[in-house]
Amino acid sequence: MVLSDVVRAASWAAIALILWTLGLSLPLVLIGVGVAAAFLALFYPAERALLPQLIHEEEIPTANGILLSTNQIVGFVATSTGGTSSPRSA
Amino acid sequence: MIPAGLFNSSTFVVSALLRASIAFPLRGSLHGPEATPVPTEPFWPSVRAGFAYLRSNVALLQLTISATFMNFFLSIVLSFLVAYVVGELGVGSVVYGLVLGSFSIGFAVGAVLVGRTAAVRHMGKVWVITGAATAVPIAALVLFPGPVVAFGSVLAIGILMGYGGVTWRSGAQLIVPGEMQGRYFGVDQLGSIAILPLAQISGFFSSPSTGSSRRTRSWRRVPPPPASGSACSVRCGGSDTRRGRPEPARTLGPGHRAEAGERFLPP
Repeated sequence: MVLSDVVRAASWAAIALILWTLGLSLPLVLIGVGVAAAFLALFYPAERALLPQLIHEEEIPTANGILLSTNQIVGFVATSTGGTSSPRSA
Repeated sequence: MIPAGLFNSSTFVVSALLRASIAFPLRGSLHGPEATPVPTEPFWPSVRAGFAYLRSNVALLQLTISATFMNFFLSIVLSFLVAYVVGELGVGSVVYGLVLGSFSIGFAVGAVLVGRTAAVRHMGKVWVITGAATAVPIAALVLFPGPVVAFGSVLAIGILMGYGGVTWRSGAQLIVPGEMQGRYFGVDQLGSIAILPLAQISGFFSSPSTGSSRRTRSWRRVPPPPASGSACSVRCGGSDTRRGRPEPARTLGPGHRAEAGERFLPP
């Protein structure tokens, strides 16, 4: 999971660097997003398998509920923020 | 875009640091030998072991297949909400944002409710009821097109998906043996990812851009109820094929055991 996070961090940093230095290069951006998505696919099974090893069984439903609801809420806020702050929304 | 990319990158750095700092009194040390670390296998033998375990457990196999179908149909609905809102309702981005946001709100509510109810003890019933009930708001989207109905329907879909999804995930984590969970969730993830492009393509052909009539378009977008009641009769027991001996039922919480004939919901 740590490796997955590190690779995804590097991928998004690389995408930002590409946009800053080369401008919009769709193939390079797609490669960066593809790498990040590949490691996301590795991340999810590990995350799901790790949780039961960290908490007691009776806490699993509550922990999953908190995890997924947080994901949804943060995702909604982030998407809304990105959408309203993008140049095209002006 | 550049600040967003850098911010996104920094969140993964924070995540990596937090995860690296996790102290590991693994559950194996709390609950006996069930989570005893096993030697790491090469990739392909691990994949084969995951499929073999899935085949050995009829309940999990049917769950994974039905979850794949659920992902397929719901991906069509959710991915093409933008086409529905703009093409069918004829409204703008604000309404689309509200409709999409209602899914997140509903999902969050449904997810939290799982820990406050006995959903995991009755995961078979939860699986069937939430799956079948999802057809109702989807049908409402088609039969009564309008912003208010869209908001309420997508909110309901979110609640049902959140409730069912967390119940499924929790149930799988409680039933699948610790040493097989990585393999099982890997196989499940593979099925979920593999089906999404097909859903996108199917959604494309049923979207308003195909130029068919409004009424026809609407009916073509109605997927069948995503859950199958026939799946209720399967048992959650199975065998650990790596060890070659039956896997005992695992407890679902204090004083409760997995109910035979129960099922659970996809992510």
